[in-house]
Amino acid sequence: MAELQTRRLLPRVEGTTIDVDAIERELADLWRSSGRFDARGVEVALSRTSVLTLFVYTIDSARAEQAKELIDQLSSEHPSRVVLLTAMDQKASGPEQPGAEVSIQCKLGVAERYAPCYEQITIGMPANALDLLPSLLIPLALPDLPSFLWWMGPPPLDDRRFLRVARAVDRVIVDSLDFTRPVHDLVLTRRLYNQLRGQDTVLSDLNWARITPWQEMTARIFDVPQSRWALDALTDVWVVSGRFEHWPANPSQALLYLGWMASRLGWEFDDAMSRPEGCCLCMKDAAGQRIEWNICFEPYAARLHGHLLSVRFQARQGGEQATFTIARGGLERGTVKLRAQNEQQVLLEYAFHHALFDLRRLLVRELQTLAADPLYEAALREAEGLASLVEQWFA
Amino acid sequence: MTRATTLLNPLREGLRLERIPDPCVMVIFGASGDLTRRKLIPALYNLAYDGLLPPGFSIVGYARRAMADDEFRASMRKAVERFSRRQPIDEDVWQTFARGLFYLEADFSEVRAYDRLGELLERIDRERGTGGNRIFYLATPPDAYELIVERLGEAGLSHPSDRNSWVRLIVEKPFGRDLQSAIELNEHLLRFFQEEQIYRIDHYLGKETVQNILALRFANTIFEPIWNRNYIDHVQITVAESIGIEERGGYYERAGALRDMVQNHMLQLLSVIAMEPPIAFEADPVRDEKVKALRAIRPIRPEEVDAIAVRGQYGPGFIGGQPVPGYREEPKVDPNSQTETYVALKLFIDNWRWADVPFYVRTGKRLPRRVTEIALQFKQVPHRLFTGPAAAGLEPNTLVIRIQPDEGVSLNIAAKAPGPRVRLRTVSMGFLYGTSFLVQAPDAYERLLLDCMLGDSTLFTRRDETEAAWLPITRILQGWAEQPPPRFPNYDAGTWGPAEADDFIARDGRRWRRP
Repeated sequence: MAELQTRRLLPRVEGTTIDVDAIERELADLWRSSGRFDARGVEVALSRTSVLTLFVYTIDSARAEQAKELIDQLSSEHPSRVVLLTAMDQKASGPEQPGAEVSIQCKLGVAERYAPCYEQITIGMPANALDLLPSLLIPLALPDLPSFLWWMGPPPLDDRRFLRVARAVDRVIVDSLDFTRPVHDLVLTRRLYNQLRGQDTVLSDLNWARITPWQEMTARIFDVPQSRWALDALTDVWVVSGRFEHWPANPSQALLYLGWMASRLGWEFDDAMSRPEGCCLCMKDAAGQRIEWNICFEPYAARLHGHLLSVRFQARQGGEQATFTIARGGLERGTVKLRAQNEQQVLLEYAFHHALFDLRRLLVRELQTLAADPLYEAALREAEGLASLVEQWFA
Repeated sequence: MTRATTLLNPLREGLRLERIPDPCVMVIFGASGDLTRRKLIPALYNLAYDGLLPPGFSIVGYARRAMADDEFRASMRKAVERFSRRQPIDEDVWQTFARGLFYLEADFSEVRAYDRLGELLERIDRERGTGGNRIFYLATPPDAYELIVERLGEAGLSHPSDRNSWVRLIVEKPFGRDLQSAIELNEHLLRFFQEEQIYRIDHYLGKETVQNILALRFANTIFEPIWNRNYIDHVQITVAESIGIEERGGYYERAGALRDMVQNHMLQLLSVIAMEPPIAFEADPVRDEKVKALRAIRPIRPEEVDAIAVRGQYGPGFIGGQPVPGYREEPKVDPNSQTETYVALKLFIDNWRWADVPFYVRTGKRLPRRVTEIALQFKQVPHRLFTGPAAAGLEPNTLVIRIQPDEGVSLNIAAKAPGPRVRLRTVSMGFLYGTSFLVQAPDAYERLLLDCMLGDSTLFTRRDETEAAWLPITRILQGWAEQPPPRFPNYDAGTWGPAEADDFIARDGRRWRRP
């Protein structure tokens, strides 16, 4: 798809970190002066449609580059004003110093006479500028449209100023896969969630959205009437996540997944023990039956560090026994496969491609959601309780 | 609607993924045909790819052509590779999908074949857990509908085997040739199926933009107060095609533009534009209102057909700089054919909202470009402040809902051109879905097949709706039958239709839009 692009660097005014009025002025001027012709000289109508304001905060320039690519792709589904805020290295000088750039990016290709455009504002932030952030988020948000803040990198959950930042937007998106101390930070996430309750801001976790395919497949096992009995007869569960050898294990997805099942099925915590390859959490179901929930890790490439790789359920009732396996497979591990079998035969086989393993699709889904997710709230509550019990083994 | 078994599953509640239907089997009659290959199987594969099909979902292809299950699977794979919007094919998804594909070679009339079908369905229920839930899809020529339905009924396949399962029937257009045949077909279907089991498919209703008309009208406050005779001068609905009849000469000779496009697609569009707000976005409330709008179409007497209808047939001409033959030169077309390839109508909806507002409806083959749109032209301002050169060329406000291509909505308004003098210009404020949301919309069949599996018939036509749509069309057909044969061809391929159509609207002091 061809692109029209026009950008302008804002002159830095001595003593002023970021001039929001100047940003708006320059953008308005860009719209007025932007060329209306593509590279072939064909006249194009620039169309400006916005459904939200997306703020992306990145803690370093490497993430900023990744964000730029994603923003460009996201504009296809969520035409928005995008404000990219990047924390600059404190020791940097010259072009690395805080400053701003505004641009209008247009795409050609769908119906070549029209070019959908979006505004992008890039702001270099002084490091540790949490105090400053709300004063940028509030005036730069488009009126009457929802505003999202996607925090790329470990969020400062234990910094009280982060609460003020969160309150400046409608939705804050963090990613517990990025957490520095995954188990401890899950506890802090719950605290922040509670602090925002009753406010206009909703907190969400991309890692929660990542387990959607697992939830869907798990639910689907027990949708089948012949398998429904097993839900009340689970004895053992093995949840395997990827672990890059040089990094500490991240059980956030596994804990959120367990939190979801526990909250839906009314399981209660019974006991926990460390295991060489992870840990085991023993739960009791409503009938008092014990379920051993094993959280394990398997060496894997960095891109799937902390991601669920497979879940296996075992159920036993009377003389009947069944095993259900959900696993990622296929090209790029983008397919979810389900297999259910008892001692005699395969009961069910199923596979589908899941777009939510892709970060872009994950964000698209996140940006479509405005309301709080009660399932997440319940799962986080359970996961926090479990996290505090196993924190010692994942420190 | 059947309550899904999923309600019994506490893990299902609140999940963010889309609705998942109950496990079921779809039996496609006419499985070796074009519709199955081009539309149905690719749509079902796309649903599988997106994880929207239930576990155990199975398809039984039923056709006369000799084929084993594996050959059918191989043939359907080719269809998916060629026609699916999901490319390349995902091996894991395909393998799971293909395991659920079965083929039954039989004649539609063969009584014993339906027993074999019943046995196969029972086997699939046992092996794949489809629980007795079935959809029978009539993707055959319409003359086979009655026979198939009768055989299904006789074989005891038209009703669910127990109260936890369901059986549904999807019927493709054309749904009858006139009011009488539609009534007869309906009565025949209803001898074996309940109305709630019958899903009459009109793929136009599965299009995103058609659904967006409902959103535009009923999710915004600003349009509904002016959506009536007080503000709207007239409505134009255009479905223009640049293609000819392609290889469908045999079918088209019997159908013509009025039956092929107006009775179904265009009257569906008209009813969505004209309907009153439903009390809920659910199947029956929405269809109740559509039916009311169709029933309110002013009765047409055969002798007045000339005053409200124009027909045409294309002769040779040029499309996109290429010479194209006239209709009578097309394969399988009578060289003296009197079949219309163009039709323009003026309809009135006699109710409080629309009294005396003309709805101009036109469709044609071999018109200069492919476009489907609905234009609501508003009345002139009551007192003209701006006259003379200041307002020269100023058009009344028009709200245009474009369905294809460039799906979207635009509103033409008057604005002052910059400068010291007052000069008004018409400017278009456009919202184009394609330029706002660049994502590929799902195919209409994907949406409709999934809705049927879920038991949601909102976007399917009900018996009374079909019959209400046939009534005015039948009157026009009767009127034409009483007239001397038209002098065809009367427009060149690549033009906007016959001159009579321009005169027809000009008599009302209006003109056709050039979309």
